[in-house]
Amino acid sequence: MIKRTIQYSGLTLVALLLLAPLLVGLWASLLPTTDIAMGALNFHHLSLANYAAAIQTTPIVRYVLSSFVISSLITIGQLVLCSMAAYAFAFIAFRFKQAVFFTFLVTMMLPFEAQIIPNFQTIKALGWLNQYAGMTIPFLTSAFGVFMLRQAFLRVPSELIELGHFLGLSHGQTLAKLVLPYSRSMLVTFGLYTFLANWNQYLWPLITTFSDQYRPVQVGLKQLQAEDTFANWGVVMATAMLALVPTLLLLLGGQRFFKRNLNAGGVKG
Amino acid sequence: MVIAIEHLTKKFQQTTVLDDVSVEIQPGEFFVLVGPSGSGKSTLLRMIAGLTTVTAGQIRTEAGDLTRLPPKDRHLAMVFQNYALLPFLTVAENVRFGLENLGLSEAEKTVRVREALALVHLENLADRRPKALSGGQQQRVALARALATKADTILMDEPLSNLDAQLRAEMRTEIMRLHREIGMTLIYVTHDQVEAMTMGDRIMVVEGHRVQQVGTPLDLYNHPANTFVAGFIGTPQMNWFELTVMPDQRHYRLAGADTVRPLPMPLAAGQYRLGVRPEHLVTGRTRGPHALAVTVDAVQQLGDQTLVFAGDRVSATSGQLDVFVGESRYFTLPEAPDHWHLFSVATGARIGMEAATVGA
Amino acid sequence: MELNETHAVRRTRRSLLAWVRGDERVAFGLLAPSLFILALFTFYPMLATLVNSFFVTNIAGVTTRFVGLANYQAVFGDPVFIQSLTSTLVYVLAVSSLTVLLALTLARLATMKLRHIGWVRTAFASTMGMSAAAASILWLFLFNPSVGQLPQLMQALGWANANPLADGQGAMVVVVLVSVWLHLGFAFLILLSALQSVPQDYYEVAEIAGVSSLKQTLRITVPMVSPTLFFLFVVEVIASFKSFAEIDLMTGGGPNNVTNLLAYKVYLDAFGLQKFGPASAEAIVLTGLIALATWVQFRFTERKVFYG
Repeated sequence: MIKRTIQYSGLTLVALLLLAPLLVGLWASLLPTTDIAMGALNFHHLSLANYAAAIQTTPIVRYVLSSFVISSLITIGQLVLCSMAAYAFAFIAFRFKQAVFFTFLVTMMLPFEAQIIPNFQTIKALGWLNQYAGMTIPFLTSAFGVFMLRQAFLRVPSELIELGHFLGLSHGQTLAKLVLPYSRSMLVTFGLYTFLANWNQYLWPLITTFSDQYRPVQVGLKQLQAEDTFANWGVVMATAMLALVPTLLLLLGGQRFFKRNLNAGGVKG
Repeated sequence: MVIAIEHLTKKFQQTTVLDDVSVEIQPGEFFVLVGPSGSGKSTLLRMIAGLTTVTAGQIRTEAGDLTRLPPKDRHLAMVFQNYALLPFLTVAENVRFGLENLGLSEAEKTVRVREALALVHLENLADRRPKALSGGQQQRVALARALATKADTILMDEPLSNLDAQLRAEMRTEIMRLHREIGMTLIYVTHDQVEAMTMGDRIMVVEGHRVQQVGTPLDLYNHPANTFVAGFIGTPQMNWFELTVMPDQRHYRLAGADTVRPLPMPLAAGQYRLGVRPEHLVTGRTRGPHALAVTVDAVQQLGDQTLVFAGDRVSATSGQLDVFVGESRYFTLPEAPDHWHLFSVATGARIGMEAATVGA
Repeated sequence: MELNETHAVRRTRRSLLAWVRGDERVAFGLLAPSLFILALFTFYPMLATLVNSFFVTNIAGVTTRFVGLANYQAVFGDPVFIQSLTSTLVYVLAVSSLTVLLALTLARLATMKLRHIGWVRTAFASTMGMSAAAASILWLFLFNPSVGQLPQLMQALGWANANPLADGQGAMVVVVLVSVWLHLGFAFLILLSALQSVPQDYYEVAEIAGVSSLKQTLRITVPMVSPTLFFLFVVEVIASFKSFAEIDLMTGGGPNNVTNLLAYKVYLDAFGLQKFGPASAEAIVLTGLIALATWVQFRFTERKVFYG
């Protein structure tokens, strides 16, 4: 009994320690700045006033919307393009397959951080700076996604693929009616992952967006830091919390699902 | 429609998977391809289905040459070994999936799905997912999917191999009933000779990438074309003897025995392999001219018949025989020439009585 | 049945998936969009960066004169770059090893057989998928010298310097701390699943033999999950090389370039100072380091894919 109590207290302490930055941030987002400045973190003045202020006085809603548009477009694009490429790798024999596969593999070794200079020039030349196009089109596919989905597709029983062939299904029909439905859970996992990874993008929008109209939320946070609002900690915390909404939704809602597929799927390769 | 297979051959680089197969499958026939694992029987079925390309030879029907046609243009249906059910569709949707590219109206599809499910008695499970069904029920869904296409030929690749013995027997009867009621041509692959014998109108035995024999179940049983078929068909298996016919063509000697015995019919002098079905090898207490003295190793009382084992031979006697392990008995070779299956020692091929008998 | 089929027959089955030659066009059609995007936004820029690293460029980034290895010589002769490289290696090793170590500890805790352990796991995994930018803002608040809770706490505990972000080593410690915290959720989940696949009997036997919990971890857990630990370490190395938002938001590379990590320096030199040639050379160095780590991952771990 005592052992149990110690174990629970210990675990709770560790959990709270890990959650502390998040909890403190959430708490602060609910307090008036004057309280925060005095270090008075009591709960007499809890309110959503900071959120109201953030929405009224900062472009946070605009940022969140931009992020939503950008992440959604990229997610849809990757689901489509990566599925297509993964299907070709999984089910069709073609010349130079190994070489092409290797090409995809190599891109995973090349860090995006080292490619920003020419990419910036390309986007500039295309007139896509400070545009959704410039923030989405370069990311519409990913070698990682192709690999992960290929792994998932290879788990479709070959008898089902044969059945499709026997019934005269075209490659498009086989993909749409057999392979994709069979791999649904992996597609959802991959979609969530892609959405979140792009929601969290920072470096690329930092160098390619200049106006509040197209600026996504992560870079928006930096913008707010640079502006005077940063002294207003309650509002800043409120914006940070808003930027974390998809992450927190995933944590509370989809985590079980996410973890299961993380283990079953891509990571184990 | 008649399916004519002519000199069909499949090679994989240097390996021959199937060599020069020719046969005509008649409309409405229950045609069984049987053979051990890796014999090439599945490859033959898959070539008929169009799932495997043909290296040489042809597959034709009255409608023309099918050899290079894609599967869907062959107007066949197929039941896969592991059922190939789509886990994300219901039973009815799975059946409907088989009608995908047939150009049917939605209403027609609905009718066909209902009819096919009725045929296999699954109307009540139409909205279930395959996962919620037993193995036998899944098998029925796969059957219904094939039936719904109304193809006049259905191919089945070891459809019962994943079921337990009881379900297998049940599904065997079920498939035979459907065949009788609908009258489609069935081309059925199995490795189980009992399944082949009980179900097939005609059986093709495939082994070592070649056709060993094609015939009705009784043809194969009574006139096996070679030692492989003789040994493969029938349980318990054929008994084997090495036999030398004396120059006088009237007497023979069994390998390992000194006694020279009179032949039931005259034979050309030389070496033979003799096959005798267990029911033609008589267990007895008396010594006759064709008797071999044996010590009983094992006895199986099956009620309707008694199996007596001695060495690598077995005798089957109708009814219940009073015999115990360790006793001495005689196994007696049959007198009737029909029950002597003679094969060439060199090739294993059957030597017909006409060829072997002399001056009758 | 299928298992018993001969080799040749099995090959026949597999070759079925090869279908026919005409399918090649379909395959390339399916691959084309991905190949096009990768060519334009991965291969071309990588190549261009390599080429640029041998040239002098003007303000607009247009290459003007071939200078051979001069950019590399300049970069390696620049004490700021050397500082950056050293800081990067320190940062990467610190973050990777601390993350793996702490994640293993958390995973061991989270496999205790207790009710409500699910909540503990959720808490431990809470930084999974969190953005580095938002995390930085949270920690900036905690470390804020005037309103943050941590400086107050540190002062109360007798710490002399209550604004660690203002001094070099302190800033590095904070950046490492934040990165480890940020990476912990993912690492924890990976190790949790690895631990869950270790048969319980081992622990039960050890428990009966009275082996301490720490020794159980060292003697049973670590050997059993060592491939995962190695995999995770390499993944963390690669991810740490790419850390950017924490630096940009928390320290801006300062003070005195102590936290000016390589990925950040490439950005500063290119987009702050318009020194495209040297920045390209630095980018190539960064690529080399990450490619090496990725190669190690592909070569020495069974897992071929990672979540980055």
